[in-house]
Amino acid sequence: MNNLNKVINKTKFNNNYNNNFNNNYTSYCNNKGQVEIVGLLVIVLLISLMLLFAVRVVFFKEQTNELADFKDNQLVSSFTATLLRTTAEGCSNKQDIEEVITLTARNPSYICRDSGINGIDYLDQIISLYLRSILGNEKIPYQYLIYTSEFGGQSIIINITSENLSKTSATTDIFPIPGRIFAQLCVHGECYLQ
Amino acid sequence: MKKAQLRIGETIITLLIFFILLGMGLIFYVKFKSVSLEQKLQDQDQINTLNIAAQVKFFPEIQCTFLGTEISDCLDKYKIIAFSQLVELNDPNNRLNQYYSSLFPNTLVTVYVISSGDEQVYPLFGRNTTAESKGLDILSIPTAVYDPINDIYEFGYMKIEVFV
Repeated sequence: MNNLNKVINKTKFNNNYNNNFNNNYTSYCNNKGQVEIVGLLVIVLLISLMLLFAVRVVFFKEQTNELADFKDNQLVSSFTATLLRTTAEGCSNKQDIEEVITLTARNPSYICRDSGINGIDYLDQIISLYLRSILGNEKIPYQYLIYTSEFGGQSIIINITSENLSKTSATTDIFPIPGRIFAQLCVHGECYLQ
Repeated sequence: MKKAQLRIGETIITLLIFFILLGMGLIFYVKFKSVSLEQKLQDQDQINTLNIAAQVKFFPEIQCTFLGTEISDCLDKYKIIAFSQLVELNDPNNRLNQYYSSLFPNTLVTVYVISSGDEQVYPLFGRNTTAESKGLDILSIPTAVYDPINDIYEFGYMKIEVFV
């Protein structure tokens, strides 16, 4: 009888234990699933961020080319320096272009000594020819300005603009000429007077 | 489906995702590397062009001189003409052209002078290898060209074409 009771008690205990274990296991499994989902979410989030960063760095990287800028700077600064030194053939063989610019800035109705052409027309023609020759072949858009700067503002004497000139940022160099005159060449974009 | 089969399926999917991610990472890395390598090569070509320009600009063979002193940013027109005639660009056996081409390989240097509305072209040295090359790096440097006979400065520019 005692033995029978022992067996019955043991069976009861086993049933209780099994029930408890099943309940605990189901709850443990549910919790584990939630933790896994959170983990997966974190991984997906991290991978998405990494991908976004990689796409931004590889495909949308801002292209800066210092060497190309340096080349443009060389061209822009040498152009006006050379231009001012050049003899004003077709205007006066005794003068260089710098003198013609100075005289034209002082007196807009200045007439060339040798050819009788108006100074502004001469400068416009000759500078356009040089610019077309050096920049036109490479299809580089440009704007060339010669202006006087007084306290009241700027007065433009020459304004030469190529076709397809955009409003993007330009490589530019301002060259001062005695008499508050400034020559400015802008390539790849429009000039902005300061 | 048995539990073991589920586990195998789970492992396979995990491995699949892992390899997909690894592949994507590799693709990005290769793409990133190739872009930076291309940029480096391009920079190197441009530095080479600038080096050539800096050297050619100060060539004593064509530079203006006054009483034996060199004048900066100025080329002598008659020295250019004489140099151009001596080198004879179209003659592949010309020794001078061979010499200068060995100093500056894959480079073509030409001086353009704009005089009285006309453009005069003086090829200095080099070889046009457009057909063989993959690309071209051009640098134009405006420079004054002095005509000592007429005592005038003409507008000119030196064009350096490097075939890469």
